[in-house]
Amino acid sequence: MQQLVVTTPERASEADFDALIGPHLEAGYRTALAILRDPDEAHDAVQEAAVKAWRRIRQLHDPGSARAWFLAIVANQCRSMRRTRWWSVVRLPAVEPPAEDFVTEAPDLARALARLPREDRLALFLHFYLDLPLDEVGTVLGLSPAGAKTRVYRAARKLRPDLEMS
Amino acid sequence: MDDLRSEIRAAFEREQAGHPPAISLRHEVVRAAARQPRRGMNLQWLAVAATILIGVLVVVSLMSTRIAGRAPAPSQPVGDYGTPPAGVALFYVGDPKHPGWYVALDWKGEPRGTLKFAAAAPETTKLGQAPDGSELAVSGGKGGYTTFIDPVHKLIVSQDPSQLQSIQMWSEDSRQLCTLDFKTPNWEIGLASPGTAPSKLHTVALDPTIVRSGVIGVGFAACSPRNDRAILVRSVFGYASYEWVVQLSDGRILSQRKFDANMLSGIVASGDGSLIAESSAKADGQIAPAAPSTIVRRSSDGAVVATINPSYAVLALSGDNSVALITTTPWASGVRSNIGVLDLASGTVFESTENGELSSFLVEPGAKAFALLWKEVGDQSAHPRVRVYLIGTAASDGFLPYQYLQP
Repeated sequence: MQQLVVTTPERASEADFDALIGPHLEAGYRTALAILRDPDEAHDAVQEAAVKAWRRIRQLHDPGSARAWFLAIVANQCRSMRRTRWWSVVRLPAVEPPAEDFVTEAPDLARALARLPREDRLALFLHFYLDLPLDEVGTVLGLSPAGAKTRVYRAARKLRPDLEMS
Repeated sequence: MDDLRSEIRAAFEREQAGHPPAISLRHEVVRAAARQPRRGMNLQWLAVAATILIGVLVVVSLMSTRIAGRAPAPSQPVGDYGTPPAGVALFYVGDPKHPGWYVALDWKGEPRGTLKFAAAAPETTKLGQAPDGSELAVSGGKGGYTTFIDPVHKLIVSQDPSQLQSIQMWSEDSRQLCTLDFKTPNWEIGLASPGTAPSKLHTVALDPTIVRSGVIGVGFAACSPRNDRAILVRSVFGYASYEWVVQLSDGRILSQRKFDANMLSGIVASGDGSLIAESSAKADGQIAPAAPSTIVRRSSDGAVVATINPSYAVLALSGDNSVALITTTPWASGVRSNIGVLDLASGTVFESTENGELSSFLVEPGAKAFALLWKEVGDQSAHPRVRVYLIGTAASDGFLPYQYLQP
């Protein structure tokens, strides 16, 4: 694991910022892509989020929580982009080939996943794809760890109504 | 749970696989961010305070301008805007502060008039409107009468429910109604003024088995005297099974299509009847069987002009035939709606992200805009409180400032 070199974030140099936030940029891009579903918009979102992180770096009191802190900024940036650009989110039409008419479980789940409310999708993405622990999922979503657990469980249950909570 | 975790991960991996991050992402993003100046805390707060102060001043000045310019003030929703103007396309929404009042909005979202009934309409009453709002139909009242109203001249015609042995739809020009009379052994199509019998009827040679079946299920998808065309659709058990392109002047069937059961969730047509959208049953959440895609075709020759994901359903086509209003997930009661617009020329989909349930929508005649009425998710009332979102207008898109009631 890379050693954290920044002890006083407000004085972070470019190199310090790179060490602190750089490792989480890919996760930020992937999170933005999961929310916005557009690679160009996702790139814009992560760039804007990085600028905000650079300007607000003093608000990061615990460098160990940099990942969740940065992903929360990314998620907020994506929400903001969707709110303000209601009408400019462009998606190319995806026409499914007839072969997909055959019912298989995985595409069915993918379709159900695509139809989930975005905050539910985000919870599942953070926990199951990025492997974030529930406390970090909670930080990104603005929830307590217990609230994050409930959100993940409920979102999963929408995909599988017979799911038992563990 | 572990199985589900793996499946979810696999689904996200498939989504992400097509768009990996650029190799230079980290370098570019860090470098661009680090070029941005950091502001000191004091300056930040100073800037925030100044921004708030300026904002307050701007709002106050705008409010004073509006108060002086027109009544009521923006903070007081809706009110009496006088007699609706003639010759302007309008749509009506209920005034939540004044039971029985309906506000006429133009397609820039400006209130242009108020239609006032003496008392609040019963819950069962529905206010329908001609495409341009020049005439209204109040249905579901006492005795089943439908009352037609000209909001400018207050002309009122009541239609006896015993005469309603026909299916009706406002014509594209808002002046007449297309009627399909099913009293006779042969079904007859015609044009009528509101509240009157059609002057001429022409037999439409529908499949006799349909006519004899007693299961009507037939309705208009379009009525255009200008193009001498009507589109008829038959739906059985919620799925579209037939579409007919009919010549209004003689009832001749120009073309027809029959669809296997459960293939389509619905068929809609443009106001002038030149385009027909056939939505796959997958748009209703059905997996199979279903049409492999949702399509828009020309009614004149059947040529397909747009093909989209079968999980998208077309709700309406714009008045200028340039875009389609679509749902990107099933439009169901009690569920958050995901609405988009399909640009027919480019095939691109513009998706919405509003957090609410689409209650209803209207199409601007002859133009590109739609008015979307959004309600709280799960609101089951007959006339829910709605926010109006205009899209594709000459003015900027967005929510109108007041909440209204769905008429």
